[in-house]
Amino acid sequence: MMPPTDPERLATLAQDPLLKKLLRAAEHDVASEAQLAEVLAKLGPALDAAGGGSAAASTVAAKTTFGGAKWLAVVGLGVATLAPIAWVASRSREGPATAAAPTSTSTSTSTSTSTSTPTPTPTPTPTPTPTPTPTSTPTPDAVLPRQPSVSTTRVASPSASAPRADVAPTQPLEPEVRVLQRAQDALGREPARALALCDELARRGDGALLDQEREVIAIDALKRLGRMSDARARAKRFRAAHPTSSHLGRLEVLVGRDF
Amino acid sequence: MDTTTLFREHGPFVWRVLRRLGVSENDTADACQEVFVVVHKKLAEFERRSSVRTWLYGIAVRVASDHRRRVRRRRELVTDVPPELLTDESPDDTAMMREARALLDGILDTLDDDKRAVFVLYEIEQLAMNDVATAIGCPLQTAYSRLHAARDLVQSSIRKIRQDAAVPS
Repeated sequence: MMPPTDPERLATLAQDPLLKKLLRAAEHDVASEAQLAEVLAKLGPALDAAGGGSAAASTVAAKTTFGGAKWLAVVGLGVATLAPIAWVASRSREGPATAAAPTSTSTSTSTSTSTSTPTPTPTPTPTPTPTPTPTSTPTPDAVLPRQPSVSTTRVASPSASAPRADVAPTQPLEPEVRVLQRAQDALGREPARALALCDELARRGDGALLDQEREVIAIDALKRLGRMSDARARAKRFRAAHPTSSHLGRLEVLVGRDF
Repeated sequence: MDTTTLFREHGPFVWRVLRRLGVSENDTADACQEVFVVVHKKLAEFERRSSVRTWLYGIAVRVASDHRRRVRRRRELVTDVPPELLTDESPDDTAMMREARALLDGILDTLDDDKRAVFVLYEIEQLAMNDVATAIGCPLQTAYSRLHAARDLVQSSIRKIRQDAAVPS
């Protein structure tokens, strides 16, 4: 019996934009120069201890950096293919501090915006000599331990650096899922607050993972506030943007079939 | 071909697959090192029946599986630390990308190791199914079955996430 042919991959096949976004984010999860250099630094002694295998591996390891053409090609590919989603992501951010992890410490906040190129960086460990590229930019020591190449490009994008007048906070962004959870929790007793939270999320931009769910909550909140015409108008926009959404049935329940 | 050259060429991909196979970022450097120590020991025996990349992924799958088992045992024995506190995200990753990966990892955590490995290698690492089966050491038909089952579970999780996010409980 002939084996079945490989099915089309979900990143292409899936109808759900959320699933596509998650898969795309995974594909672009690239280790930083520093992270790889850290492994390489440990690898030499470990290989010596392990014995066997190819000769002089640790010696080579000690002299190796990730500045080689192949590695740069890998990084370059990541940067190039990441560009669209990076643009989307950058729109979801609110100034320099938003590069930090939503739940991370102030250290991570301060290490996010220092370079503009995918620059191989030295590690704090006694390792490879950094191999500067023509595009390299000096990097403060404080950010050396973790400096993923890909995201530095995102920081450098015009949309990421352009200030947005309509958003004020400079604190790290609260994860979208948590904000939505708060909006959902507020819906029953404080629909105005739920609506405000949804609108806050909407201002982050098109990169939202759960934009459909945000809109459903917002429409629900508008209804609870007695703003039926606004609710219908928003539902109409929702249907135009997501004509096959599984939430259309719920919207019919909320605002009627004639929206 | 030596271990260091292999690391330079394939280390970033091994790193990524380890992450998606459930190794926390804090532990990925150690797991990645473990993969290449195994590579170093077995390099002389590598017969090139598969591509180097497939061979490396096979080792990574086993290292990740062992790693997850150890972490589970450690958590059970030592602490009640929530899983999210055991991770350490890259600080200059975008919030949205981190959140997306965290969401995906949460979904992948619901799969057993076998389905997870097939899903990650095929859907994220883009290996051909033949290579996926070789990497994880199972018949091709079994790999297909696992892929279909994993897809169903992942898509079901996505629907549940959407449902839970939109509809008040």
